[in-house]
Amino acid sequence: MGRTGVGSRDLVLGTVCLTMAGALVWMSRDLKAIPGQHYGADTLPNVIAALSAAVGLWMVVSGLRGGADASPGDDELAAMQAEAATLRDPHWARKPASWARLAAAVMLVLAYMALSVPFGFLPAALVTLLGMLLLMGVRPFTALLIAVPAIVATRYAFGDLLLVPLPRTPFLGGW
Amino acid sequence: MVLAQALQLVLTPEVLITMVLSGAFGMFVGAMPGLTATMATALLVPVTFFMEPVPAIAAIVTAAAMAIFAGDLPAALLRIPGTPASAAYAEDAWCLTRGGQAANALGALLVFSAIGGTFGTLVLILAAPVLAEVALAFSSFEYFWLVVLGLSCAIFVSPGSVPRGLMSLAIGLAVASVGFDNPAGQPRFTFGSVDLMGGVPFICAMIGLFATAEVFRAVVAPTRLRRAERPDTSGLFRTQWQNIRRYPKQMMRGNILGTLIGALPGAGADIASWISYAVSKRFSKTPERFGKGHVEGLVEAGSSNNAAVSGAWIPALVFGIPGDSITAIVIGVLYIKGMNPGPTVFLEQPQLIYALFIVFLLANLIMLPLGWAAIRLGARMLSVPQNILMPVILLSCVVGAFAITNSLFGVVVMLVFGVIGFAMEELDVPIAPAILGMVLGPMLEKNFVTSMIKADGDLLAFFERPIAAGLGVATILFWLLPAIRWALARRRSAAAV
Amino acid sequence: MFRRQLIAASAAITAALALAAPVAAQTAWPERPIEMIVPWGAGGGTDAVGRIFGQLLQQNLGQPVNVVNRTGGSGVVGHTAIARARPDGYTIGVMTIEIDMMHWQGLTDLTYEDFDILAMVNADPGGLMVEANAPWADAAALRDHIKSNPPGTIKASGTGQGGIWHLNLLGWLLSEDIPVTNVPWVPSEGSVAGLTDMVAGGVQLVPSSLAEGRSLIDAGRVRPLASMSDERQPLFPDTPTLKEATGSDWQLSVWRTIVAPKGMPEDVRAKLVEAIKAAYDSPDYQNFMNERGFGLVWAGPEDATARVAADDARLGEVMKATGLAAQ
Repeated sequence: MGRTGVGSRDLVLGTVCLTMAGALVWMSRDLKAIPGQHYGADTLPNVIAALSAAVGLWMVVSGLRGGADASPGDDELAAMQAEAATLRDPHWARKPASWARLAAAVMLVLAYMALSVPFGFLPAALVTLLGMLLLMGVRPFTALLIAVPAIVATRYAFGDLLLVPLPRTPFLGGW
Repeated sequence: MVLAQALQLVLTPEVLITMVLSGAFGMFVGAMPGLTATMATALLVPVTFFMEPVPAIAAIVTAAAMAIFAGDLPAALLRIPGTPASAAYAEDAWCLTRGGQAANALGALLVFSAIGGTFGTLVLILAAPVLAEVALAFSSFEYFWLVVLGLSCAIFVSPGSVPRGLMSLAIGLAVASVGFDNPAGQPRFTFGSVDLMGGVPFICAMIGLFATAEVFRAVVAPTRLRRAERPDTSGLFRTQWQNIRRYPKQMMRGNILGTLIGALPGAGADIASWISYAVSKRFSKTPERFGKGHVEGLVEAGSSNNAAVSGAWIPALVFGIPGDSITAIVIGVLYIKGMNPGPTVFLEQPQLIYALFIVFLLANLIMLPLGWAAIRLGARMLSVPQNILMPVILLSCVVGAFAITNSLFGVVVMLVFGVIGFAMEELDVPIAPAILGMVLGPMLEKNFVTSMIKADGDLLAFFERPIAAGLGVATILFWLLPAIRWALARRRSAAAV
Repeated sequence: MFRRQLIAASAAITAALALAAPVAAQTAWPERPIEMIVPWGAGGGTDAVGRIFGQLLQQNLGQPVNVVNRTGGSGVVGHTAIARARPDGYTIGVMTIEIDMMHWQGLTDLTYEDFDILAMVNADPGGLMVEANAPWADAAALRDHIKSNPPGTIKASGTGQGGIWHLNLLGWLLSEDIPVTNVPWVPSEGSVAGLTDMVAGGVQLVPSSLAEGRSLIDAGRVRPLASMSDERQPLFPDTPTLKEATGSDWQLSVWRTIVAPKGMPEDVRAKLVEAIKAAYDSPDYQNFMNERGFGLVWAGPEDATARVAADDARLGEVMKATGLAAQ
């Protein structure tokens, strides 16, 4: 998120908490106590809602005050160290390309789900793994060289060694 | 005499080879994201049907011990904890690896896992009947306080601001409240989905929050560094002498606390690990270094984790009460092999029980060489360029999540929590408290509601039983400790002036 | 250039995979691994029975039988998965008594009629268990105590709210004309958790199967008062049946059946039933069940279906009478 002020981020998170609290209360309105008891299915959600609401208020207030709750100096320093350690681009969120790449990664998992039912594990995993490798900038031939042994090994390890069946591929004799 | 007979039963090539093979198997399963120690043991059960009693038990016990340690490996190397217990110290271990101290981090996890496991076994040998009696005195009132203590730890250990830790905890608790398996037996937040009736599968969510989110982070902003330095893992054991000498108190505290909490069938290694990590931070001279690559917490929580795993055998062997699904499986195997757990097994078949104890000790010893090999192998993974490693991790996330539920539902959960975890990390909301909330949420609810049914709604009942009252006071003191310390420090500085 | 390499490589891989794959021929069932869905988690009793059965079926059929745990929602998830699988003989499952409860609770439309019940392979009668030092000498004394004291003096546990042992308690109370509110239910994760809580002093009664209390009974911490079966159980010869103890006609056993989705080809079904019978009769299975203390009961397809149907009606009555059924 670039480095937006700590205060405005608290405001956002506080609002999320308050929304969560409201949603919990609203969704548990039909839940009843155990017959003959004071407590039941609605107890835990209401406790969480109370916790969430309190936290939300706390964050909204501190957000409005400009983020007085934490010591921003420390946070900022730690964040910078972490970024430096991973050599991440701290300004990724401002680049539309980053968001497109994130969407592509999510789409590739969805593609696996869509393909694995009719075609089984091997083709679906091949599409997802190849796509991810290409997305990460691996050259196509290298990607293929990695992807094929990787999925065959995965299929063997899970399906035959661990007896955890993966979706079958009909046109490969059920492999 | 009995001991010699027991040694004869254990020290056969058949038993020893079985232990090494099943240990390697457990290591492999435990290190794969999504495959659990429970799965490793369950898969071995049909194989053990056709074995003699001692090798059968040896196979399962060794595999379980290795699989639990192996959960620490991806935590340290990739910040992807394999078990909720290792999530307590994943951040520290990973920061150490990043800082070029992989040998220290992994060595500490390995050595103190083995020490904790051995300590727990020794307690099991010497004091099992006594401790089992204590464990039997625990009812929902006592467990309620233990869970509250565990949850308080989540806030205390999470780095960054308190409200963000609380927010993460609330998210975890809210996720845990989904499903039909609540004390009231009412479908809650299921939106008519049959899959959600069973609640959100916890392991799938954890894979998403840690592993998938990590992949997403790599995707949005690829590192400029193509090839990460392969961490130096030579001298794995050498550094640990220093750690033992520097942190003897932490080690013993972790051992004792872990064994005690592990011996309670309603608690287990997850709570032990988190409470120990929090205790370590609270009494540390340098609490500010926790969560940023400090080995002290690894020593204490790592010991505690495996001591708890050993401690879980106490009620299992003495009363046949399983503390978790692994001990449940082993109890089943014990019955099949004619070693019915209970006080009588200690009298009627002492040589078998002693053989079992020797197996427990050996399993913790074998952990050292096998773990060493696994670490050397695992560290190699880091020398794989990130742009190849991350896609492969995503694939194993997908497969692992699928394997947990045996349906695409697990993959959906993994993906959703991958996005949530990514967002939380980018907004500086810690993930660890959410994990603990998911684990402890159902226990919190169950113990509270059942206590209230038993006490006819009287809240004071939480302080009426002696152990419950003690735990309750301890919990409240834990909250108040910073204030007390602050007051003491003030008085001291005032006296100095 | 890359594209050409890509095409060449993928062609090579496709060819290799096609060669590696077994030649698809019209062979008889089973020609590939069979999945056995267990609606309960790894480590439980149903999982253990499923796994030993899987192992034995594998020997009889010559193909791996993979046990797949589909857990959650008190069994709704797994049972649904079995019923909805393709009826080709490659998916079978273990069905438990919860199938006779969940549709009354309005959790699902699924009933035992949606399954092809192949065999009942185990049944464990419910029981009445109290703490070893409890003041009641027998089940009749316990009944009289419950009758003559205000509601809530005795609390019971052993499953979740509305779970099978809760129904066992309610069924017994109804049969003795005791108001069901006299014994409040404390939900627990299972029998062992309930028994542990009873020993810790949290509750006074656990109406679960005696087999589940075996280790604590052997340890002298728990005392069985009655077995809800028509005969005494071999493992507990000193424990009277409920009929002997209080004169009540209430009986309830939890059972495990091997089932398949409806609509299997007739030849596959016949082979499967035969293989299940062979597995049940094998000394391995008999020994396993005896050692674990699980009750051995055999019923073929028709008998098993009849028993499941009878329990469905009985549990339905209890649930309607006590307000646990959905309106």
